[in-house]
Amino acid sequence: MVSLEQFKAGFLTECDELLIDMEAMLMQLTPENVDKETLNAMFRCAHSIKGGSGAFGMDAIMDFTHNVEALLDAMREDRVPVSRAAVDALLHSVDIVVTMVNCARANTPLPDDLGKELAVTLHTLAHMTHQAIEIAPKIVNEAPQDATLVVVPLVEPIASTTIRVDVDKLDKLMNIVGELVITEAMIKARLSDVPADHSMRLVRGVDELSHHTRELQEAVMSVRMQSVKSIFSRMPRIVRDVSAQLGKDIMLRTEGEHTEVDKTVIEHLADPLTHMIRNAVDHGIESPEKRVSVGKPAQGTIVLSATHQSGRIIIEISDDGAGINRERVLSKAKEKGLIPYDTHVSDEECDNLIFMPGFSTAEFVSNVSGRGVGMDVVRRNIERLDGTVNVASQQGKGSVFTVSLPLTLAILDGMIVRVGAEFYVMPIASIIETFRPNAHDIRHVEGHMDVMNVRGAFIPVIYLHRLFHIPKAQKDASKALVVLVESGRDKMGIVVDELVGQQQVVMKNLEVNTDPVAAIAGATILGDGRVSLILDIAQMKHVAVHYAHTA
Amino acid sequence: MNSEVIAPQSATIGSNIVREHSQFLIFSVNYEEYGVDIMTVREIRGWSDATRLPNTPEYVRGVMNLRGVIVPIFDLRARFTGILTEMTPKHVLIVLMAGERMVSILADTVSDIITANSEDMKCAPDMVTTVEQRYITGLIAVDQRMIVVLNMEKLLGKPLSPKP
Repeated sequence: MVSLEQFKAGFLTECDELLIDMEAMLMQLTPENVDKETLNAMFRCAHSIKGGSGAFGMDAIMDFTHNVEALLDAMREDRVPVSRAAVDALLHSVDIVVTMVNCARANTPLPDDLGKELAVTLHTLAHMTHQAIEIAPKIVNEAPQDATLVVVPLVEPIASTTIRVDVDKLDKLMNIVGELVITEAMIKARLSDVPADHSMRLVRGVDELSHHTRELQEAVMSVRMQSVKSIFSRMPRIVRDVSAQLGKDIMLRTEGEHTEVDKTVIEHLADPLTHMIRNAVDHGIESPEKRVSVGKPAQGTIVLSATHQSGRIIIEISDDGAGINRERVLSKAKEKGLIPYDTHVSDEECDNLIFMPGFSTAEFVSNVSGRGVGMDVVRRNIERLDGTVNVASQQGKGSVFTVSLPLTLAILDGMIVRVGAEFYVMPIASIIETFRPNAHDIRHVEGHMDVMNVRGAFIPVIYLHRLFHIPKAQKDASKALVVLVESGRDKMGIVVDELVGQQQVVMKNLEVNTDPVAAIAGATILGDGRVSLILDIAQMKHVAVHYAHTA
Repeated sequence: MNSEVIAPQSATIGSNIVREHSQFLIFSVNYEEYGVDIMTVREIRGWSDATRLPNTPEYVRGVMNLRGVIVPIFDLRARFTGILTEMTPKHVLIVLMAGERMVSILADTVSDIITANSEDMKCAPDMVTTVEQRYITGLIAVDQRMIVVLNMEKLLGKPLSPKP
């Protein structure tokens, strides 16, 4: 996962290189030997550093390099002569910026007056010559640019409406709101203890409170929303590089890049998307020759789009390539034993076979998309985020991959279930139905998971008390409850003792302080202040299969 | 540094003048005394109901809610001897930072806080304690007591090779 920190580190390394270049060029520069191209190159160095540091919020570097850039600009446009003093000041500036970059890398604060004096010198150097060489119109042109140094709001009034906030502060705010939601649930839970004739007004008050809490929560969530642009913007480069490698001509179009989603989702989106884009370039789009031979334009098109749909974000990756070769997929799947030889599958089912674990084969592996990771990993990653991924393909016309994800991972609608004396939370989104099965609908297979007949379909049964070794739980599924859940295309029945109730829970990452726990997605704090674990439905089947084999 | 300028609050152990002194919180588990750097300790609290983490080692007694933070509870007796601690109201939880992680350890009692300097800290010879040597920062001898200073980061912090 490429984080902002890594981008920042990358930029700082780039700064090092630019500064070394700049220093070398300055050493060549004397009043007697002025090369216009060298001046241009130095200006570009300063400009890159200024631009990048601005983007990463390193204002000190940006402000200082602005002065350097201004002087270089004046020099290359011949408004200022290349003097010994100017070269000295620029060399000194390089040292200052080197210090600033090092401080930024070490995350140490800058010395207060670092470069202050020199900034003034640079500024005066640029100005002195305005007076010396009288070119009035240029001074007028220059004026607003200088003004930006001091009076920023005048030039950019929009800037004052946004502020930059530390992510930690937002996380803290989110945490507090989470606590508020928990406290509210706690009060609600206690409300039933109050005699009915006393509780009317109290209930109304609590309802009001709930309303406000929800609004507050939504407001805080919206602050954390980021546009998917940060991820989408990385894709053109990937398409360009990979298609060049494969000798393909591909255009990437992005749509809806301003669609917003919580930062927790953004963080997990980059890897699967990158993989799917590579996949589209590698397997989706045909070679230019082949495209022309079937009457398509030589240039292939991949469209990456994002939209909001009923509280979820939908990301589509469509290509105008050959579509999925169903014959080949089917024979491959049968050959690998992923499906029995005699099964009939619909076109849709066939297309989705590419998400099966173990589908990626040697024939498909190339140095582009085959890195030992198949589409099954993409699907698993997306399902871990409580999302789904599907593909629809049309022979000869292309494929569309559709990813659906929740807008946030921070809060989820949960169903609290009891097993023995323990309580667990299941994401409501993955629950299909709950029922008490008949004893004869459950089949026991030695060394395997039990299966259950649900309206003709056989569905694996997972006993939570076995998987988690929970004492004093109801062992007989026909006396307990089965919660039928769905994760991607997998369905399974999870045996629990009782459904306790539905509640919005704040997802807490368990792995901050502990090692990951199998089949557990995270934890939350219930109304009574106790910690409850949230089941990872996507992982559950894999873990259960593993335990059934080792048991 | 000259010994005259040492601040008066720097305590002494035996006759040594403390130069680089640190304070250690001393607690006992299974009749052995252990110490942890007091700067890592966040709070000491009574036992609170823990939520069990399934399929984890026995010494992981579960997790608790510490003002919204999910903190694991480790049973040091079980960790070192394999025998689970039988909980009584006298048992305490010491919440501390093990590297970047906030964890809590179950102790029989907390006895005192001692100040020691780097010279008081001895290397741990093999076979002296039930604890593996790599989890020990050093030993401190005070009067007739021998205190094992634990390296909590190595013992309970992030595993060295996190999952990919």
